[in-house]
Amino acid sequence: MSNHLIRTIDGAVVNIVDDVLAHHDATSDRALEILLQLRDRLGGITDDVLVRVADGLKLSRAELYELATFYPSVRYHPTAVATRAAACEDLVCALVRSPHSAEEREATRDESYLCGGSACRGRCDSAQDVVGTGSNVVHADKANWRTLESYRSAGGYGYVERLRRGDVDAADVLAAIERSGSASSVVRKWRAVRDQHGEPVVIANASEGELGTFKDRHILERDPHGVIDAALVAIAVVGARRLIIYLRDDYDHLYRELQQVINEMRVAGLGADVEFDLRRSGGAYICGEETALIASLEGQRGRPREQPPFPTTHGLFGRPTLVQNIETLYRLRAAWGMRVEASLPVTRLLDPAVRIFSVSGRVCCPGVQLMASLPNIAALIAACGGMTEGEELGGVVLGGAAGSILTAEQCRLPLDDLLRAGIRIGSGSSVIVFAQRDDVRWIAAKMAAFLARESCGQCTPCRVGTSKMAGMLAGGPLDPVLMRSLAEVMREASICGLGRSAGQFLAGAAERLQGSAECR
Amino acid sequence: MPVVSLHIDGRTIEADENTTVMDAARGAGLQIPYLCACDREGYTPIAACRSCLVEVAGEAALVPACRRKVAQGMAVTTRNDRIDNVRRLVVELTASEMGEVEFAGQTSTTFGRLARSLDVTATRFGFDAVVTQPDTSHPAVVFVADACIRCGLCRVACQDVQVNGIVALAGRGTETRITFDHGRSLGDSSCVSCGECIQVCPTGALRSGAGVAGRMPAELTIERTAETICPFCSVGCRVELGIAGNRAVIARGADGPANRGRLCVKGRFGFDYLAHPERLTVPLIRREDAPKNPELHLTGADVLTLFREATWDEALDRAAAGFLKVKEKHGSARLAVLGSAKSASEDAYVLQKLARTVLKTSHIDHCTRLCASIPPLTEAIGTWTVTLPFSHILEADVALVVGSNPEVNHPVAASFMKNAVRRGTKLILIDPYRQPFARHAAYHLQLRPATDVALLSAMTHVVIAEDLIDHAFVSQRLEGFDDLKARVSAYPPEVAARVCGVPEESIVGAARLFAKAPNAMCFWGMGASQHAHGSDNMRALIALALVTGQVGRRGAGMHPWRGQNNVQGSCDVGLLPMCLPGNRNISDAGERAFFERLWQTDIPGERGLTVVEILEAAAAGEMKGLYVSGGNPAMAAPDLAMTRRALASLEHLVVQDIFPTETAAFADVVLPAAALAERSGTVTNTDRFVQLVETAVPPPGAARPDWEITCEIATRMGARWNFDHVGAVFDEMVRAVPALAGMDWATITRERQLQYPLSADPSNGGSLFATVFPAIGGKARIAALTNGSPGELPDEQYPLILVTGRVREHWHTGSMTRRAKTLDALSPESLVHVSAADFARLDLNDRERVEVLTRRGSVRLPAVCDERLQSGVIWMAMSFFEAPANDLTTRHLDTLTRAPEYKFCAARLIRDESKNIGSDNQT
Repeated sequence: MSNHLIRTIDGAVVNIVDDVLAHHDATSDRALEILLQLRDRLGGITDDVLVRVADGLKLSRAELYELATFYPSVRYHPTAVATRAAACEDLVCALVRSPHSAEEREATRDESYLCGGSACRGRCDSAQDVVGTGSNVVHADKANWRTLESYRSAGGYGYVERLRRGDVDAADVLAAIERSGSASSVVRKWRAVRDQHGEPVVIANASEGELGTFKDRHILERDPHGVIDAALVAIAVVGARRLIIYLRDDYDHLYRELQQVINEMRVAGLGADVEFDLRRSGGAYICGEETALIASLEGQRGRPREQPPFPTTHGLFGRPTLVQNIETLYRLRAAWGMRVEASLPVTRLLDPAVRIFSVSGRVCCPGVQLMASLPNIAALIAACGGMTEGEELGGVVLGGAAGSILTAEQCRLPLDDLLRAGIRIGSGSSVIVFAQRDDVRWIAAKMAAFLARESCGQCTPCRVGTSKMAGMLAGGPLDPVLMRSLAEVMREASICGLGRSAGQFLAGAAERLQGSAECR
Repeated sequence: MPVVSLHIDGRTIEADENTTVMDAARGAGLQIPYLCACDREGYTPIAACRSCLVEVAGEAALVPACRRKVAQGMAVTTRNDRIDNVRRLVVELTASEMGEVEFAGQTSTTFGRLARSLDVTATRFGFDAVVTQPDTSHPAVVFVADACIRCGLCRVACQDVQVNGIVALAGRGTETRITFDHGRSLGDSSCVSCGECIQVCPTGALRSGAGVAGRMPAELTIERTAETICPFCSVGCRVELGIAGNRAVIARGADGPANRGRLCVKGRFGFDYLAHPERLTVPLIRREDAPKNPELHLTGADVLTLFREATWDEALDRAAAGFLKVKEKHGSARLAVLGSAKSASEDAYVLQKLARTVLKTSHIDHCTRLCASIPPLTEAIGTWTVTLPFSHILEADVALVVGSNPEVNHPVAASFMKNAVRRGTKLILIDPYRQPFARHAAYHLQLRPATDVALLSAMTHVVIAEDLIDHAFVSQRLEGFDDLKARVSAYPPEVAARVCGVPEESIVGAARLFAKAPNAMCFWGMGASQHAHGSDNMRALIALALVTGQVGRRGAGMHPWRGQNNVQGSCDVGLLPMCLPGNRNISDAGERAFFERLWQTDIPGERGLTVVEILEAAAAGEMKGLYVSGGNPAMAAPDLAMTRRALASLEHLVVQDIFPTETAAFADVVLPAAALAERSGTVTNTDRFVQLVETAVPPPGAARPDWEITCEIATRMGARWNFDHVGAVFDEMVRAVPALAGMDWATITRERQLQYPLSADPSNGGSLFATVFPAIGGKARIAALTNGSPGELPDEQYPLILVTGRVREHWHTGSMTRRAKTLDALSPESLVHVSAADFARLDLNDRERVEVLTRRGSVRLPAVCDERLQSGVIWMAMSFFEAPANDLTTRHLDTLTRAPEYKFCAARLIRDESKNIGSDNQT
């Protein structure tokens, strides 16, 4: 209990800590970004660093410890700095890397059903590159985005200029968006934020974290200015002065890219009166959820907040907040005349009929697919070059970690039929393809393990529910009645979408696996 | 606040717009189940346990009643098949996070009651199979992880309510777990044992370690509960005692006007002193063969060996006869009375009445003298109390805290101060010690010891120079501005910066912040008053508050912390040498006449001597008889060598107390008193709340309430009072004390607390002097300073400055708290704190035994390095009889208040070279 012990800390480390603190004005809402920058420079956070940062931010050690242990990207360990991140153990990489026959599953069944290795890093489209090397990060990343000059010559940032000059006003913009047939929720949100008292803030949500989803990464790798252009229009319409780009920490190549992009703009005098704030997520899937995202920007743990109130009225530090994801922003520009360019395939997203899918798993060419029409899931697999050699289609996981597990037959059904049957496509349009020889229960267990790990832990139905669910699916006889009870309480009583959709997933899994040999 | 009407289970009820569904339902008599909700002040909805989910018509998803606010026309359903089923599943799932053994042990917890009400006796999801050993590393708080449901209430309790920042809800997903600081065990953490987490935990995962009686609460059966007021500091927390076998075994915070259900470590864990075996239970008379030896430092059981047991009659006769003998032989002026600020006001009233009407002496005082933060405020605005309650900090824009460490000495009040800071109140702290509280401060002016006058004068200089004064106040409500302006002209900020060692821009910034605040409060404590120039410190601070007009409104005023639980009451009823009851001037013939009429006898008219003066007189042979009731000068007075000589030289010393104190070692008669929780009466806290105390547990043996004993002595000396019960004393007190006007025993018994003056405008929330200062004819006065300085400065022989004070776990001389098992376990020994620079210079090791010497005496104790201290300063607490800090302190007294300079004297520190294993410092 002694408060008198003097802790000794390496002098060089002290300088780095103090330097980072000074750069951020030592304000506690930047705690996560501060810890991430220290992680970049030191490799990880240990106790001596944590204590010094806490003192510098006037946070209690407990508060900072909560942040350090909540956000895996911080790489906190009391005494040792982690040497290397382990290979991804989540569904796609695990599926592709280690073919899982029923016999092998039996042989490796163990108590720790949770993922042992590292979490998904959004490189599911290069999972097969991992085999033998242990890391799939290096290969996939390219730094080849469309330059500012090229973007402007295609008409980019033109509309923002017109707004600035007063040629068009906010009402014109909103009307244009409405006419273009974009999601009506966009106009509703923008209006709500605009009408609210208090200075708004706009957040571009680039923290896509859904399992098997990498479309936003794809967009940002190719045409980042398209996203920022739309964000600046949003800023002008809602009357904000600050644009926060909340970037998935795993996309470190995009962190470097966006820093350069923003610099390009500064040099060109674009967005001069806007404060650009590039912030990284902490590696928690839940921070894709708006209120958890906002919490992490406030220096809190990423725990979703009950709505109402909605972020549009009561968001970041209680201010009206507009959160838009990357795809929505990119597509929005069709409303004010930005057109598809044949030379840049990603611009096809400006056509509202075109849908974007992230396809991974046992296909020849995993990656992003832009499809103007999609009769059925099988067509998507064909577009990716079909199944990998020697594999027969077993089915797909549609919609991410809490998504639906479709049979091969269902993949051949028209999409409308699926929708009518209540199958959800999900927001991330993630499609994970598996083979006939892959064990569906194993897949379900992997999905459950992901959810259990990523649950923020705030409420009992999700925290305990996802854990129990993962345990149920991992091994032992299945008890569909118990699974349905658990699904019910998770659906009904969880605070946020993770818990609720996990419950839905469990109900679906119970039905799917019922009748299999393993049920009670 | 607009009122809405809504429907709950078909009933139409009305509630304020800002009410939650749960609170609205509760108001209508319907309790919706909960686990993580707490309706006490400072607690916000957590909505993590999901036990309170209800249906709101028109919404598909279930809604947490604890968080959702009511709306006009809302229709809520709290019970139906869907809700009941979900609730039952939630509880089942919650139970599955516990260990099976801990679930079975949920007999008297909130969770246990909820589970039983839903008939959840097992869980189909399986209990947690991993067994974790409870964390028992901390004497006061035990954490049983297997009972934890991660509801987060303890975290809110620690981070948001008490703002101590220890409890962490770390990790995520199933890894979510309670831990302390950065993943420490409780014993290794900076937990301050407030026990708030214990009080709110719905499963007992956080539970009292030793408990009040030294037993784990799981094994205790509480037979009944009773309320009392905490006997320690002047916050005056209302406490609910859990009692078994007529012993207090556990304490919870009750909803008192000051504490609102909170407690600190002393109130939580300090009540087992009541049942300590060393309690005085029978009257004692000194053995003929037991001489009074001032060289001996005796306490506790050792003191008892000097006495023989006697009956009440024998002892009271002996006590009275002794006083009569001194009175006849030497005269009334050789008799004195030292009361206490710890007993009830009725005890103090009767004691001073005895002194004046029976002993015929004005030498009446008590330990308020040793703190004395009020007199300069009386001098300035005529008040004998604070001008507003401490809770007004929640309405203040700025709080200036001088010479006070509230987290240590008024911890519950400090929690509200921290709440205020979190809500935007700016804190300015003036203290040479970088107290942990400084982490909340906008400005911590860490000045050199005893340079407060320069600093405060400089702040006033800035305020005047930059025309930030309150012109209306200065012209209409203040006298002495021109003199003040002239005085502070000598203190431009650059001068004070040099003198005080504080950056100039901080002085200027703090001054501007204070002056410009729409509403600002001042707090001050012993750091300001316990100096030979203490009243100058306080005058300088009061002047700053007055010229900025920061008095008289909600959130604007002056709060000189009262120290003891009833120092305000004891002062109000005249336990003072210069005042008659009601703070009336003893020299005023008219005032005396009132009392001579009331008491039907003549009373002396000269003011009497103060505490240290009484003791010095005794040492000089000029005081012969002394009645000490509840005080302990043999530990609390400065320069204990002199004090012991003084006490030993008395012809007749009667000590009335609950324990055989260091002072009792010199007594002729020892009378056993009932403790505060063992009798009824009233005590007045720092906020001017008169609070009722009722008997919670019976006193031990033959011990009796103080006022009864004093009355018995008075009767034996010829008085004819007829106080047949304590209420009769209260009613006479009210006649004698104008501040209590409007109160009577029946009312206080019914209301349990009344804030005086009852005539105050309620819209000001207890903040006084909105327009005038009535007691001094309307206008405030700025007093001249004496330009005093510390009585003994460091020199070559004694190069260090010794500062004495208190630790959080112990109260003053430690007679009660050292006898509370958990408190003593938390803080078992005195440690001298040494700055990092001096620690290195002296080449000390942690906890190495050293000797601290002053011109008065020496003390041996372990030393610890404290990087919060300035170099050249050492610090020790006053509460440890094995290392009495007052063996070292000086008798330099402030000219106005006569408070001793506990905060500054010259000392030397050396390694303890003595090889004396059986030294007097062994515990």
